[in-house]
Amino acid sequence: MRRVVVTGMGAVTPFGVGVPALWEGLTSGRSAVGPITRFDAAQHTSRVAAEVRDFDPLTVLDKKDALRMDLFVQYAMVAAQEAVDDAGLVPPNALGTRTGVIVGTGMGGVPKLIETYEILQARGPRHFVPYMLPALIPNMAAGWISIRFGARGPNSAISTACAAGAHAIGEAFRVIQRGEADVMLAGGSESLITPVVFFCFDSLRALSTRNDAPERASRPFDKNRDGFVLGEGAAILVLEEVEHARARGAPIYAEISGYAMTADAYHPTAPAEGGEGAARCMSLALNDARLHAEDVDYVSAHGTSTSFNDKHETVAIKQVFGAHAARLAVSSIKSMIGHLLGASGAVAVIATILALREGIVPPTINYETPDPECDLDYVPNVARRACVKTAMVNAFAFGGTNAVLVLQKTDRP
Amino acid sequence: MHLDKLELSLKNLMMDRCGIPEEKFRPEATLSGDLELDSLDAVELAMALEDKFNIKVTDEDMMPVRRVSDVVDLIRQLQGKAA
Repeated sequence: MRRVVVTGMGAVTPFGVGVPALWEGLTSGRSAVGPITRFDAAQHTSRVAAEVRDFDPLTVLDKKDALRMDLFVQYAMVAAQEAVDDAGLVPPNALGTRTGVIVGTGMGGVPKLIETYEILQARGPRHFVPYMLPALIPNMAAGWISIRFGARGPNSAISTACAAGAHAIGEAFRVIQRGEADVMLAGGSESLITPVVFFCFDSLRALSTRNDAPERASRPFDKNRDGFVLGEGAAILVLEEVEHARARGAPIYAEISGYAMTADAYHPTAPAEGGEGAARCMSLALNDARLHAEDVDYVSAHGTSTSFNDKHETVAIKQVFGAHAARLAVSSIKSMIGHLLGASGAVAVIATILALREGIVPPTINYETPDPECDLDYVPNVARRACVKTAMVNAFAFGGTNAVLVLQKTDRP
Repeated sequence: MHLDKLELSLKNLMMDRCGIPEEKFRPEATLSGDLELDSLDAVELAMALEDKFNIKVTDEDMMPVRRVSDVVDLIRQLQGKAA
C-alpha cells in the first residue's frame, strides 16, 4: 500500500495569512474572535465572528483574476500558493497529470450569489454579469488552484459542510494510495460572514450570543458554552506519495496513516445519541491506520462549543478509547479561531501536524467551568508541551456525516 | 501620454473593473490583442460602461469596437444620444 505524507502547508485564518501566524496564535492561547465588522449585525442575535483581517489577495493574485473570485476562492488560492512554495514544488515541471486538487467547502460563494441577486433585482436580467457564476460555485477553489499550478490530475470538490475539509484530505489520501496521483493539493475553504448565513444559523440557535465578550464566546466543553462562533479562512496541504517525496528531497511534515467516513443516519442537525456515528468513524480510522486506541496521544476534537456536539463527542471518545481516554489530550482549536465550517477540518490537520512536529498541544481556551458530562483532559487554556506521536482529527457535520483522519509523526529529515 | 477627462475616467474604470494594468492602457491598444479581453470580458466592459457613464450599451454597439479609442468614441456617441 502506497504511503502518503504531507510536504507542504498553507493557511489563511482569523489569526492572519500564513501558517506561522496560525501557529503563533494557537500556541499563545489567544482568541481571534471579535465583533462582526463585515456587515452591520446590529439586528442579528449573534454579533460575533472570527473574521480574517487585513487580507490582500493582490499579494498573490492578479487583479483581473481576483475580481473573478469569491472570497472563499481567494483564500484557497493564497493558502495553496503558500503550500506549494513550502513544498518546494516548482510548476510546471513538478505538476501535471500526476498532481490533482480536492478542496472542500460547505457552501461556496454565497456572498457573491447574494450580490448577484441584488444586481438582478436592481438592474434586471439584461444587465449581464458573465463572471459571477464561475466566481462562486463550490468547485472553483479546486478549479482555480489547478489552473494556477497546472495540476491536471484528479480534480474534485467536496461539500459535506463542517466535514468538507477533512473529507477532501481523506479523499486525496485515497487517490494517492490508489496510485491515481503522486501529489495532491487538498484542504478546505470557507467565507460565509454575510447576513443571510447568520440569519440561518441564528434561526437554528446554533451560534453563541455572548456578544458582550466576543473573545470568550467560543468555549468548547465548558459548562456555559452556548453555541459556536462562525469563522472563515482556508487551509491547503500538499499530500505526496512518500517515495516521490524522498526522491526529490521534499520536507516531510507528517504521515497520513488512516481515514474513515461514516454517517449517523439519525437527524439533520443533531448528532446521534452517544455519538454512535462519530465513535464508529474513529474506530474505523484507527483500523485503517492499523493502530490501536492506546497508540493515540492527542485528539483534535470537532469541539464546536455547542451543547450537543461537545457532549456526544466526549461520549464517543470514551467509547472508542476506553480507559485510555483519560490519558488522551483532547483540545479544540475552535475555541480560538471559531468554526471555519468547510475549512475547519483542514485547519485542524495543519494544527495537529504542527503539534506532532513541535511537541506542543494547542489548548482549549475559555475553559472555566467543567461540565460533568465533559470530563476529559481538554488541555485547558494554556498550550502544553507533550510528546505527540500519533494524533486524530475529528470532523462531524450536519446531515450526520463524519470524517476522521489519523496522523503520525515522522522523523525530521 | 496625455489623456482627456473621459479617457482618464475610462482608464480608471478598466483598471478597477477589468483589472487592466495601468501601463497597458493606450488609446490605440486593441481590446482582444493588447488588453487580452475575450468575449465575456467585452460583456463585462459594456455593463461597466453603463454603470459608470449612465448610458445604454447594446451588443450591436460593441460589435465594431476594436480599440480603446473606439470605446471612447462610443461613450461620446451614446452620451450624445442620451442628452
